[in-house]
Amino acid sequence: MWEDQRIQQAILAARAGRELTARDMFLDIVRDQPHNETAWLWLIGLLDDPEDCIEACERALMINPGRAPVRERLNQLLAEREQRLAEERARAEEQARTARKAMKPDDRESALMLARHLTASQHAGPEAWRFLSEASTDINEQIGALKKLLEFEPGNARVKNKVRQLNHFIEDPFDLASFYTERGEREKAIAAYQTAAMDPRFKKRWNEIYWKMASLQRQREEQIAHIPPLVSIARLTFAPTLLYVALTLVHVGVNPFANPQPLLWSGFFVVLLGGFMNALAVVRSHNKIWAVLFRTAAAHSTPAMRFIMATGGWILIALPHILLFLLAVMRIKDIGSGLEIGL
Amino acid sequence: MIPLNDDQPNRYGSIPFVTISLIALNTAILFWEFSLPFDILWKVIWFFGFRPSVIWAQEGAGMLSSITAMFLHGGIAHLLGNMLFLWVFGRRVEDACGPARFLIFYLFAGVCADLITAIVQPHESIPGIGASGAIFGVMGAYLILFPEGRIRTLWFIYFIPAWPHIRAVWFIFYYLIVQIPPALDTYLNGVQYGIGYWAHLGGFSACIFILLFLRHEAFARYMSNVGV
Repeated sequence: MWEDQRIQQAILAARAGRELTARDMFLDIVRDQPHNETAWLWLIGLLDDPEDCIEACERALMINPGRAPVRERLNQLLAEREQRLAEERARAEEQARTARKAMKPDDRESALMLARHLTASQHAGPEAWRFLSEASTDINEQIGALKKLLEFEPGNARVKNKVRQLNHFIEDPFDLASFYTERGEREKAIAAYQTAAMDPRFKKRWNEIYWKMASLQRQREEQIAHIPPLVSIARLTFAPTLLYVALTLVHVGVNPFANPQPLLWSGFFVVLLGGFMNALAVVRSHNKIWAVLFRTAAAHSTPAMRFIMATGGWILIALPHILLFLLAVMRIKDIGSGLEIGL
Repeated sequence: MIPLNDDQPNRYGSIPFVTISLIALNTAILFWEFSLPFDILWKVIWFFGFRPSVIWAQEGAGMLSSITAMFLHGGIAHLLGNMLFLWVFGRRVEDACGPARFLIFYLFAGVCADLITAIVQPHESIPGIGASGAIFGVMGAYLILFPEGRIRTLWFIYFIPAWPHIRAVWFIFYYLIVQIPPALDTYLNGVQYGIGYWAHLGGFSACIFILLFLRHEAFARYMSNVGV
């Protein structure tokens, strides 16, 4: 009887327009009587927060699953919630995307703070995690962000490879240092070498670490510009071809159009490939090509791999030159047989 | 004015293995030349020297003569002069390039010297020998890489020797400029000097490609204008 009076009073308050009072009264009722269907039904209309409304609908339906209007209302609320979440997620993603594009190398701190803020939200999407993985300097945080990103994009091979690479770098700070050096991130490279120096596994390489760190510190002090590896690869790829082209021009009688020799000129491409392999071995310690050719976990090279690549490159550079040499020798034998100079 | 040395140390600490080997090889070949009877030596020079007319006709040793001519010399003075210049200017250029790429550049400069000679004097049939074309290429490379470089030189002022340090730029420019009048005279009037002035200029022109041959760090230093 007492409970009915409380319900009646709450309904009267709601009808009189005192909605807040009515809501509090109904909330008191459901706290004492969680299975009071009438109170839950009234609360569906009185609660402001959509999430509370959804809960009220669910509770009402648990008590009486056959109430079709409540189910309709619940479905409507759920659809609205889904739309709202999608909008919020899209907004957060757009913000992360814009911030990621605007991220400057010399202002990583603020970018990192924003990335952490965006990923702390429950609406954090793949762009936010990608942003955090790029803005962070901490490998463990990067791995965490990339793993979250993989939850959104499980088929993203690039991200998977990056995770493998970072896990490899945790195991091998020496390799991490060379990776940073290649990217021109000297401070990080020096820090990685310091980590490597403290690792007993690299005790035998202390001397090398010392020289590498000294070289990096000197480069920093002298403000030597970072040259992208691509530039050096292009430079060193073309260098050996110059000699081959010059020698071929001499051999074909200076004018290549008057005396076309396709076989000789095709050697240009072989020398070019050899030059590229050689340059890659000299310049890049981390590249997809290492992963493709040698199936390394982190697309990194070892001294042995570099040696193989460099040797292969030199062989390719030498082969067309040997062909050129043999053609020259054959020409000498044809012409010089009568000159008695031992040929 | 004779160059003596460049006393700046190597930055990358490499032994100038190729420079030393080239000097040794050229010297050994000169001694081999001395051991040959005159008629055979004449044939060797005729056949393995660089003759533009033969190159244009696609006869003779072809590209091989361009390489072999670089290692043949006409006498002790010819060899000494060339090797001295190679030692003075080649050591630091090799250090900046690394031995293998320096060797390629040296050969390339030598072949460039021959190519220019062949283009300017296509009917020349007297064989050209000597490493000077390649060495002019190395001098040009030195000029580009070490514009502030100073070398010790030997001067004789009224028979009194002096060995001041001078800017390599002036030294190289002097040797470059003195090539131009006789080279023009050869081209315009067909005068024979017995010296491959065009080969020197051609070899020097190869230096424009030196940046392609530099070590990664040397190139970064060059681009940062802090000295290779």
